[in-house]
Amino acid sequence: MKPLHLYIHFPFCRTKCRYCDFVSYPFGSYEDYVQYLFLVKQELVQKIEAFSLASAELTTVYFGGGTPSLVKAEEWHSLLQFLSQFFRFSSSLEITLEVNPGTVKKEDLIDFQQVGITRLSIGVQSTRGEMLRFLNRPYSINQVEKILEEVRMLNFSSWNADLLYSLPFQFKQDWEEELKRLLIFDPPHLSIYNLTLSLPASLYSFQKYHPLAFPSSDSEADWFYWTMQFLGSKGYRQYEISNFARPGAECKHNQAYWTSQDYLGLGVAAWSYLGGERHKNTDWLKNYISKINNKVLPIVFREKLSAKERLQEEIMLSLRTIKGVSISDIAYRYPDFDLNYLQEKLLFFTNEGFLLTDGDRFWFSPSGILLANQILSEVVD
Amino acid sequence: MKNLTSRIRNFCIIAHIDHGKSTLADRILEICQAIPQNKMKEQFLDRMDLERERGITIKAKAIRLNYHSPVQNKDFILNLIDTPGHADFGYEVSRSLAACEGAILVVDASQGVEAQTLAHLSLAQTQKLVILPVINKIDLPSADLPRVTREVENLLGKDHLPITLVSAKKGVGVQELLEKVVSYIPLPAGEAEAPLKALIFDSLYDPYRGVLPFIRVMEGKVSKGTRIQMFSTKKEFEVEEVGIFTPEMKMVSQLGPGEVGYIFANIKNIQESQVGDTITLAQNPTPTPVPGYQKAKPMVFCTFYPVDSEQYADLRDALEKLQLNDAALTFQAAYSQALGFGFRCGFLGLLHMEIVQERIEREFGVEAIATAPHVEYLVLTQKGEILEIRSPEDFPPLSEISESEEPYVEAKIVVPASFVGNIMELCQSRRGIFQDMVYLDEHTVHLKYHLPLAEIVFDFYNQLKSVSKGYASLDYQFIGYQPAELAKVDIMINQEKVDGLSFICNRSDASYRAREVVILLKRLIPRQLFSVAIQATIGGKVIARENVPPLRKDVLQKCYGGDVTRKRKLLEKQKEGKKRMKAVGKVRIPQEAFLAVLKAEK
Repeated sequence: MKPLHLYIHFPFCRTKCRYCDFVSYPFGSYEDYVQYLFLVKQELVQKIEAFSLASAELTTVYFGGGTPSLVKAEEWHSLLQFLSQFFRFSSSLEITLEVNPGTVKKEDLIDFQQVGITRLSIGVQSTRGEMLRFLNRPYSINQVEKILEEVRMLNFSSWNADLLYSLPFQFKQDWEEELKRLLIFDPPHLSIYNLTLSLPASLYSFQKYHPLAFPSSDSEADWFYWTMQFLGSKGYRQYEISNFARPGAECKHNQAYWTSQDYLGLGVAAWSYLGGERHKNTDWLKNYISKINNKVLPIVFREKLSAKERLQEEIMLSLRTIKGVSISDIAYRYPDFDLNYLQEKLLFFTNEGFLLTDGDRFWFSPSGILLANQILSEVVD
Repeated sequence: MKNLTSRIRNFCIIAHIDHGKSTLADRILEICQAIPQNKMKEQFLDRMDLERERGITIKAKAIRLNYHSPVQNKDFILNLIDTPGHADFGYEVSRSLAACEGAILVVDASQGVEAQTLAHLSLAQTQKLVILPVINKIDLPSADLPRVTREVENLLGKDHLPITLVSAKKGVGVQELLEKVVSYIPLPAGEAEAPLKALIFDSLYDPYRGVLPFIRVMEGKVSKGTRIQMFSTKKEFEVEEVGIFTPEMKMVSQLGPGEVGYIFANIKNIQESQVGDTITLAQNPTPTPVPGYQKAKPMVFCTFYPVDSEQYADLRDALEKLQLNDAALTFQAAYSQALGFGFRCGFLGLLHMEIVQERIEREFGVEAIATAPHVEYLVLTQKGEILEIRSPEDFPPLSEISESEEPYVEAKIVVPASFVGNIMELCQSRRGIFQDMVYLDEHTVHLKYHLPLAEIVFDFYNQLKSVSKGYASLDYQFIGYQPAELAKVDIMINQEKVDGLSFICNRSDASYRAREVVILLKRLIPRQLFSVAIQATIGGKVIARENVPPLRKDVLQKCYGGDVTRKRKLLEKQKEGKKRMKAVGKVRIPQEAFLAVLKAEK
C-alpha cells in the first residue's frame, strides 16, 4: 500500500503579520472557516479520483496556514473522520496542527489532543514583547509563555516552536536571549528561520528604505553559527538546515518533503507532489471557491519533473538534511546518469571544508550549511 | 576646352560641427536644381544614414552642379566637394581642400568661431585657397552678429572677402553666396596637354566594380582606355570608364583640367587607391605628384569582442567589408581570457572608432564590445630594436627597455575667456605643454597645447566639456613621438595574471590608475565561497591591492512543499549566473567586471 502525506492549508488569520508573504486572509467569520473546510473535503474527493489515490495509506497529516487554530477541534475531528472513509490510517499516523498563541485556551488544546492530533507547531516567532508588536503578531509575550507552558504540560508526542532571527533592530545578544527564553519550555522540536522578506510583506518596503535596521548577512552567519553550536550542546540534532529536534521528535511530515515522497495538498495555495508531478492550487480564495463549486480542480500550475530534475531535487533536498547524499544510493536509483561530475564536485567541496564524508555519504559541515545555496548550485549539474 | 575650364569653380565648405554646413549644401543643390524635388532628402551629401543621424559628414563626397548666374548671365559648372567635420579626419579634409581653389568658411551666428573653424581654416590657408566667409543661422534669436563678425574679421585679417550673411535653413543669402563663388573663386589652372596629374581625394568601394577613386584632375586628361599609374605604389590600371557626380554617377567621355569625377579601372583593393595619392600616366608619368600625400595611419586602437561569441565570424566579415571602403581601418585577431576572441583594430581617432563600431552593429547586426581606446607606443630595446607597441602583451620587460616614446598631438582649444583657467588646469593635469594663447576677441580665447594622445583618448573631451560648461571646442593634430616613461600594469586575481586586463600607462600615473582598477574590480566582483585577492603589479611588484572577503551565508532556510520548485529554479538561476562568469582558479569573475575595467582603462 502506497504511503501518502497530506497537507491542508487553512488560509485565514485574524491579522496580517508585517513579514508575511504567505497566502492568508485576515478576515472571515467562523462560518466562513467551516464552509471552507467543507470545500476542502470536496477537493479531496475530486483529487482522489483525479490522481487515483484511493488505496493509499495515510502516514502524516499537516494542518497548516494561515491560522488553523482559529477552528475548534470538532471541525478537525469531522475532517479526520472524512479522511478515514477514503484512506487507511497508518498505525503511526502523525497529525500536526499549527497553533498561534492567543488563539486557544488550555481546554482547546486538550480537545485537539482528544480528536487525534499528535503534534502541535506553535508559531512563537519571537519571545520579545516589543518585537511581537512590531511584527504585528496578535498576541502578547504573556500569551506566548502561557501556551508554551500549557503545551509542555500536555502529553503531545512531539511539538515544535517556530522562532525568527535577524529581525530589525535585533542584536546578537537579543537573539541569544530570545532563544534561551524559549528553551525554558523545553520544546522537543525547533524551527529557526532568518527573516526573509519579499512582496507583499509590508516589512519588505521598510527593509528597502531602512536596510541598516537589519543585521548584515555576516551577522546572520555569526548568529546562526552560534545557534547551531548552542542547540547542539543542549541535545538538539540539526536534522535539516532550519530544523532541530531531540532524537525521535523529528517531524515526519516535513521529512516526507525532503525525501521526495508523495504528498497531497488541499486548500488554497497548497502544493502536491504525486508520482513525479508537482502541482499547485490557486492562491485566490474566490477562485478556489468557485472552482470547487463547479467541480473543477483548483490547480493553476503543474510540472512533470524529468528524471534529471528529480535527481537534481533529490540531491538538493537530501544534502539539506543530516543524512546527506549517498553516491551508491543515487547510483542505484538513477543508473542512467553519469555521476562523475557530482562526485568530483562533492569531493572538491569536501576538501575545501564545506562538506563532510564517510566515503559514500556527503553532508554539510557547519560552515557549509551556511553556504548551501552556493554549494548546491555548483554540485547540481 | 579652354572655354570649359574658365567656367569651372571648385570649392568646398568648411565649418565646425553643427554650424550648418550640410544644410547650406542642400540649399546650393536646390538652387542648382541638381536633385529633383521629390528625391531631395535633407542633407543629401551625407550619404550614409549614420552621417545624417549624427549630423556629421564622415567621408568627403563631391557633386557637379550647373549654375546659371543671373548677374553675369553666364552658365557655370560648380564642383562642390564636401569635407568631413572632425579632428580624426584632418588629413582627409586637407586632401579635399587640395582639390579646390576656394572654400566657404561657415561660422554659426550664435556659436561663433570654434576649434574646428580654426583648424580647417588653417588647412585651407595652407592650400592657399580663397576664403569666402559666411555667417550662418542669422535667423536664430540667439544670433550675435556684431560679436561673430568681429571674431571672423580678427581671424581672417583686414583684407578678407566680404562676409555673406546666410540662413541656410530659410534659404536667405544663398544665391548671393553663389554669385560670390563664381566671381571670387579662381578658375582652375592646369595644362590640358601636360601628362595626367589627378589627386585622389576620396574613393568608394562598389561591390560590383571594386574601388572607384574620386579624383580632381590637376593637369592633363583621362578617358576610357588611358593606362594609368598610382604614383606612390607604381601600380598600373587601365581606365574603363570616367564619370561625374550629378549627384548620381554619370559616365562622360573624358575628364580634363579642373574637373572632378570618378574613374573605374578595376581596382580591387582600397590600398591601391589611397586618399592623397596622385594618378598619372603609366607611359609618361608626371615628374611631380600633388604634394601632401600620406599613407593612412591608425593612431588609436581598441579591441572589439562580439557579445555573442558565435558572432566572431560575422564580426570579421563586417570588419573586412568596412575595410574595403576605409583605408585607415586596420584589424588583427586578438584573444582575451576574459572576453574570448576578438579583433584589435586601429583607427584615425575616437570618432572614427565610434563610427566603425556603430556601423558594425547597424549595418551588419553584430553586437560588439569595445575596450577602452589606447595609442601606439614606440620602444627602443637594449638590443637596439625599435618595437611598435599596440598591445600590452607586446610590451617588453622594463629591464629590456632603453627608451620609450608616446605620440603627441597639438590641440587647439577655443573657449570663452572665463573658462581659460579651468582648461589650462585640465591640460596641465594631462601632461600638456602650453604653446600659445590668442584672444580671438575680448571674450573668446584660442589655446594651443601639446598633449600626449593617450591623454586625449582617455576621456579628455568629456572633461573638457565638463570644465567649460560645454563651451570649449577641440581640434587636434598628430605632431610626432616624444620620450615617455612607460610602465605596464598587470592585474592578478588570486595570484593568477588575468590576460587582457594589463595596460600601459605613464609611470607616474601607474599607481593611481592601478588603484582605480582594483577598486572597480572589488566593487564588481561578488563575494563568493573563496576570498578574492585583486592585485595590480608592475614587473611582479604589487602596487595596489584589494580583497573581496569570502561570502559567509547564502542559504534558503525554508524548504517545504512548494518551496522545492522555487528552490530548484533559484539554484538553476544561480548556476546560469555562474556559467556567465569566468573562472579564474577557484573564483569566478563576472563579465561586467572585466568589461568595466577594459572600458575604464586608459
